[in-house]
Amino acid sequence: MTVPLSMPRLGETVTEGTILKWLKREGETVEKDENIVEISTAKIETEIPSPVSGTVTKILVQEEETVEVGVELALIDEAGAPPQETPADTGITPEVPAEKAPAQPSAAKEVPAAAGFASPVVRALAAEHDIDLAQVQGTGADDRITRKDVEKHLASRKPAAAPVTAPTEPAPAPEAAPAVKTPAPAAEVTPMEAAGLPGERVVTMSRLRREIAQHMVRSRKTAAHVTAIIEIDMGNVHTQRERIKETFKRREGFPITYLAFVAKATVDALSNFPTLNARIIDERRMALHDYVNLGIAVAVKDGLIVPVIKGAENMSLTGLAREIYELADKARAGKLSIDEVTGSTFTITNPGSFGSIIQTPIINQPNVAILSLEAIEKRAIVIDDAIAIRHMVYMPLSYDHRIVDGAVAAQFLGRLKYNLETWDFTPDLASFLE
Amino acid sequence: MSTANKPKETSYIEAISQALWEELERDENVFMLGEDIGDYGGAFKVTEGFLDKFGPERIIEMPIAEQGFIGMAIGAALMGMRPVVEVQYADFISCGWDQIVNVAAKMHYRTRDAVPMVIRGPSGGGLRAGPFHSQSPEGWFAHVPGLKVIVPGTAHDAKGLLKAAIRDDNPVLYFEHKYLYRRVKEVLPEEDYVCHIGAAKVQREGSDLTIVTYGAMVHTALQAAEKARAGGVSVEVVDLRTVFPIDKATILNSVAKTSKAVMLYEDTRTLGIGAEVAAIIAEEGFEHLDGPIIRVSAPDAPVPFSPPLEDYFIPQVDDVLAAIDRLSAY
Repeated sequence: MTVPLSMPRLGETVTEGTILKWLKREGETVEKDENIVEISTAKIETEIPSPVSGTVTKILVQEEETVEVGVELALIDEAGAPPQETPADTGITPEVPAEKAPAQPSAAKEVPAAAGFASPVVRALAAEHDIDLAQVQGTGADDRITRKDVEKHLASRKPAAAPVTAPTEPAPAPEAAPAVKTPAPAAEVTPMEAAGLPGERVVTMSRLRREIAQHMVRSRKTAAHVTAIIEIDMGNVHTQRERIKETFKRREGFPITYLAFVAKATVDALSNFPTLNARIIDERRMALHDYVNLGIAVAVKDGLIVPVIKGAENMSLTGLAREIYELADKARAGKLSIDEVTGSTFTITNPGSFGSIIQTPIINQPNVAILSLEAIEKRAIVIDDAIAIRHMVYMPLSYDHRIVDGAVAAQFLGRLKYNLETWDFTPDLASFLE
Repeated sequence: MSTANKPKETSYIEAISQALWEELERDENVFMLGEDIGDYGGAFKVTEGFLDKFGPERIIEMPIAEQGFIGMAIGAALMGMRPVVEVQYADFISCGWDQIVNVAAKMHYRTRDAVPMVIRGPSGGGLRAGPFHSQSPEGWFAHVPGLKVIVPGTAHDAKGLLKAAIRDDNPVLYFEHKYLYRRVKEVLPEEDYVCHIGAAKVQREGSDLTIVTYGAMVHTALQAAEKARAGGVSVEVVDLRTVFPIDKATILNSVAKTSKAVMLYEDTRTLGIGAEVAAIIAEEGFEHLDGPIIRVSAPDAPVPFSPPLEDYFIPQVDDVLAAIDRLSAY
């Protein structure tokens, strides 16, 4: 979480201080108690130690500026602290052991505050015996997994419950293929229970499902969702992709998808509209980023996961295509690490691969916007007062109206449209031209 | 079986009398001071017959002056005697607070001089005796470094722990529960025996839930455990016996086994012994927990005189069952 460094009161009668020299720059790391800035007051000059270990994300007051006691001088992103909001992305795979912090483990409550709460002994047993708690049926209050549930599971579990190593089919990129089954070790199907109402079959929701559900509701409650939609002519991209796609697949071993092109265009657009790549810290502050960590939503068995391409602004088209392919593969194999599912600043979802033409996606917290790549279809459109048949796509952008206004959103989409409709990707793709 | 063959059961209060008698016989340095302990034989008749047997220099009657005679006892202990002070009701011990806490508890720390003294008295409620004849003062003294504090729950432990206390070279506070005086009895060993101060005892084994308790509440816990068994819950009852020093190992072993813990104590809730045990479990047994640690205790109020109020005040079997149900359902 972000911790502010404030101007301290260095004497009872001191009311303000002046920054003499920053000992750390933005982006530099600092240890707790390490000197971070030199300040001067009416009484003394001194160095101020950092209150936490972490990275200086923002210097708010410059050298030689004078501010009152209590004014925030800089923001430090605390290292090793849990994410600001409870689970930042929905990206927890079924395979990750249950060591993520529960929402509010309050000992005073009758029942566990959040579904998915694992008590200390349950966590300890799960870790010790390498048990995936998503596979354990909970019989405690609110379906809580109790110690006895884990012990029962342990007793009935097959001895060879090693983590997945079975190779998956080299799955095509999200847009082309339907969801591939996650090969869990003892892929149990939750038995259908008889339910009270005739004709109903009760299914217990998996942990992933429950987390997605919570995240979606929470996101809707947090952000002021608006969806702007633009229509883009993908002919330019289509032509360039067609030219190289066979060679690319043959040489790289995986396909280059429309998503890769969209990702590249998006990263550029974000650099021009940084508020779409931001994070809202609290009522008074938002954080802008110098980087783009691009979340790519991937459909998996019983849900979805958002692996994150870190530093997408530095990647070439080929690099993005590869990252997308590899992360999607890992996602479907259930092999994403915590690092790979956290830290996104913007997310792209791709329901078009399943045929959707327009959706109004829910923002992936703590982002402030999400772009949806829908199905690319040939449509009749008007160009220069004549009817033409073009590869068209609707690209909805859901954004958080707390910090993004309609005009900005529309301009962002306009930029995206411009990029995709006019860019020459030859520099990126030259090596695949034969 | 004829009465002649049936082994004689000793009540809790008889066990205390026996311990005192046997120690007075065994060691001539042991003597007693207290109000009405001579001719009258003690307010509860613990020392009936003692004056005749041991004489007025070993069974010394005191006026209502706890601070004074506790101070006297400390002085005697410093001279090598082993005094056993009786406070008529444990509540009155607060009159001697300064002598206990500032003198007796700290003497060895300051001067290396031992204070081998026992202060004993009847504590606890349930007898409609009102706010200052019914308290459980063990919490106050468990908080003072330099003292040992014992609260036995059974006749066996009452005798063994009192003997151990008298033989201990430290100042020991021994709170016998007046409610148990004639209500619990059991067959005691014939031979001389002592119980280990600082060792808890598992009074009933179980596997689903642990109740950590002491004093009269041991019996409440056992009754609740029996009823819970009918409901399919196997309750383990750990009797602390000594509330300071606390037997962490026994407590933590039990929680490791059951993963669920209830503290049951008759004392008022805030900062009672149960609060300390809960903290120990939370800190040192965290990984074993499968549910919150629950305290069942008296509320933070003086002990009521009115019978229905006192029954509300003192934790009952139903209160314990409610806690067991709550934890079992968690």
